[in-house]
Amino acid sequence: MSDNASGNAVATGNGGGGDGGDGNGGGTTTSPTPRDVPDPQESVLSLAQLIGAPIHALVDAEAQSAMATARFIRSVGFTGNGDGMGDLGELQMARFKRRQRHADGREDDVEVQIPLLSMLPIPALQIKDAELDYTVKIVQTEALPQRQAEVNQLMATKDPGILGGPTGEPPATLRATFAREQGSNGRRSVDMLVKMKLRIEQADMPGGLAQLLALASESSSQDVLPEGEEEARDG
Amino acid sequence: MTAIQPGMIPCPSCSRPLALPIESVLTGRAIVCAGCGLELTAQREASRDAMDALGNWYEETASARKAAASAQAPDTNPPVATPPAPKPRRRPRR
Repeated sequence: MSDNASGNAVATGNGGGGDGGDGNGGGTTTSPTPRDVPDPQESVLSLAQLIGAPIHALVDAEAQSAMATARFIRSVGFTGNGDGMGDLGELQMARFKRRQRHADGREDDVEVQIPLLSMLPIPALQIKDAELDYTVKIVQTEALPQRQAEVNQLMATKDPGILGGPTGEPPATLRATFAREQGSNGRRSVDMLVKMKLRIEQADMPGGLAQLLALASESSSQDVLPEGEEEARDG
Repeated sequence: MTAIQPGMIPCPSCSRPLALPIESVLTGRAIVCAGCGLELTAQREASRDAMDALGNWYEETASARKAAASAQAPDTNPPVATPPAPKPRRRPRR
């Protein structure tokens, strides 16, 4: 994943309510049944978790992509069973034949072995851009007095003239839920949406993969075929 | 022999870049070096495992390659504006 993972989180604080913000628009349409609406308390997380979860999913997705690349290399490039376990086996080589003409007019058949891995484009995808768009609703603020002592201790060791000294206010954590989208009819939708826009591209060749390909290519070879063997091999 | 990029190898004779089209490798058609005229032919029987793996890859990625090719190709048939559908005539009331 590169650069731009940008969460566009808008906190609409109305602390303490924990009502989850479902339809209160006074419309004439029927309200969703309680069964349809998830319990807002169940989806309340710390703000850090809410921001972190989509980012975690992106990192997971990239890891899965990398594993798929590794499986491809194993299954196509090597003679092992390719199930991701055990021995890789040998490099899978494709054999070619060419005629070699000597200065005295004599001709030989030469077998050229080329690793299959160097003949194929290796799929290695990465997330180039990720744009996350969601609105969070702060439903609870929670002071963390136990952290205050740590902060005080930390600040006491510093020069208060530089840092301004402790503020006296304990650190706090925010608990939030994804806010519901504004519906077209003025009511708030029951859906809590995270809009995600991804741009995926073929990754630049990782250093390790480039090294593997270089090693594979170095194992290309040329051997003069014994007389008569070429017909037998060619089928 | 060092690979230049996937699908390209240095020619075993003159070391110029030589493309290895997968179709030619699979069908056993001769691949000719433009630099020295060398003919390289896949030995399909001798490298059956490699050809099977290559064939599987070729089949499984056929739709993706087709989609990629059509996405890159310029649109030769621009959409023709269709005339609006004629309104049904109403019979005059008597």
